[in-house]
Amino acid sequence: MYRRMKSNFGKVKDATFKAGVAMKKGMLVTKNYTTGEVELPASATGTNVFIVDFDPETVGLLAIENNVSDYDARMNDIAEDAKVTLETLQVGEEYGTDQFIATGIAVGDALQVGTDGKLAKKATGTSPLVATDIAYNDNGNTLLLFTVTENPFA
Amino acid sequence: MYELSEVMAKDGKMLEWAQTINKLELNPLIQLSEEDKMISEAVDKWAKEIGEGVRPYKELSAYLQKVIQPEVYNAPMDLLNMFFEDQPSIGEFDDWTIDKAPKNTLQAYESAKNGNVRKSYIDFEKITPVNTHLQIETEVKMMDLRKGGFKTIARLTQYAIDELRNRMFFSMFNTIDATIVGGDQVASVAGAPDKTTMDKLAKYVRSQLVNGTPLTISNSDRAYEISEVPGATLLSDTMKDQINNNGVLALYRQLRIMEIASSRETGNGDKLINPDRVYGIAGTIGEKALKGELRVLSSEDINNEVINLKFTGFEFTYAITYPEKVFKLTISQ
Repeated sequence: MYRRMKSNFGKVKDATFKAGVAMKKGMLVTKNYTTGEVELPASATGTNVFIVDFDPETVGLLAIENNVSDYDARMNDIAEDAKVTLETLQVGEEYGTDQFIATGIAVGDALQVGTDGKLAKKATGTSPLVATDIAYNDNGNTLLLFTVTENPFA
Repeated sequence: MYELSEVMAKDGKMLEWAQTINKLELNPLIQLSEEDKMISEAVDKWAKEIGEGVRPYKELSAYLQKVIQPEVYNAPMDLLNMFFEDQPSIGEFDDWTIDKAPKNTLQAYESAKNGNVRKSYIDFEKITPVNTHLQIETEVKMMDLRKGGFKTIARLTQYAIDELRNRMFFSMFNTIDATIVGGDQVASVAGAPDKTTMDKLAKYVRSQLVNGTPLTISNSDRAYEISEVPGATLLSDTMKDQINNNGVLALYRQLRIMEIASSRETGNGDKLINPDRVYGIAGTIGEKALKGELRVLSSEDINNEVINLKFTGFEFTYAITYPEKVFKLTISQ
């Protein structure tokens, strides 16, 4: 799950890619233009990543249930080959995600995306992604908030 | 066709409707009145059209503004009004100061006739109130408007009002807490309020009382503990009934015991009132007023298919003119 805390609107939200492997909404992924799939990063990085988003097909019980939590597993688990949408990161925006590894992160730390698609502390060097809140409470769910300080696609 | 604008013109009707709809989820057996049903149908149709993109999204923000504005600005906040004098609201670009009744420092001397004694002076003061601006931003998925229809609207209406009011309460109590730092006005106790500290509090508050209702305010757990303090032997039959029926006493040594349910919190999980505090308040301690007007701004993001909402312009201004009338009891665990 991820939340837009402060975001630009009118941005492109690419909906043409599909998931190369099973993943969760709120992970950060890279595009593979050859296969048309999004993948988990091959090595830890803070650049050229997108937040993966999707809305599940309204099938089965989802069609009956009226209020489904945004944190419900069915709203978050993306199966391999499912169509996804991609949130583009822009300078000045702030996002929150529950896909992170909390170990050692303090506010102001540089972050990188691991090969598991989760945000983690970047031990050395800078990164366009900087932690702004390490335990934001979103209705009982802990999110890591981060801001984008420079263009991650430069 | 049911005319929604007619209903909206009635004070409080739309909020009442929103509250009924929100209760429906907890208790599906509630019977909706004919009027509520018609409002639901009208709102449902309208919300779905916004969700489909065929009706201007501005109607959503216009509706929210029309319903929320009078609720947060005109409805009395009973508890705060017991110790903050409520002033009429002022304009967005206006300012105000408060004339504080000065302390009487004139001194009378015993003297011989036909001569001089020392002059004494009164110091007139003005107080500048604290201004606080609150803002909420959120987004509504157009999918939710199509799916939830009137329920989504009912929820937004009530929750925005609740959060603005809760945050205002929270913020004012934080200021009170920060203002009272030491001297005779503070005491602390471990575990729960006991007789020594509660008597200290009651004596202090009674000594400061000029007019108004003296009271203690705390969360419901502390109020419960205060009610235990007098001990069974001092209780009259009426007081026993109060404890058995309401859980808490009505009064502790002239002080009304006011409570805020300990489970109540603001949107980010802050407790509405600090669970480790009991405040004793001797009548009116200050003044408050609302400032400007709540504005609900919106924009449609068709790429994400959401409507961004911004509740802004909610300003309140208040001053604690008599900080000496507050006693702060800190409970350490």
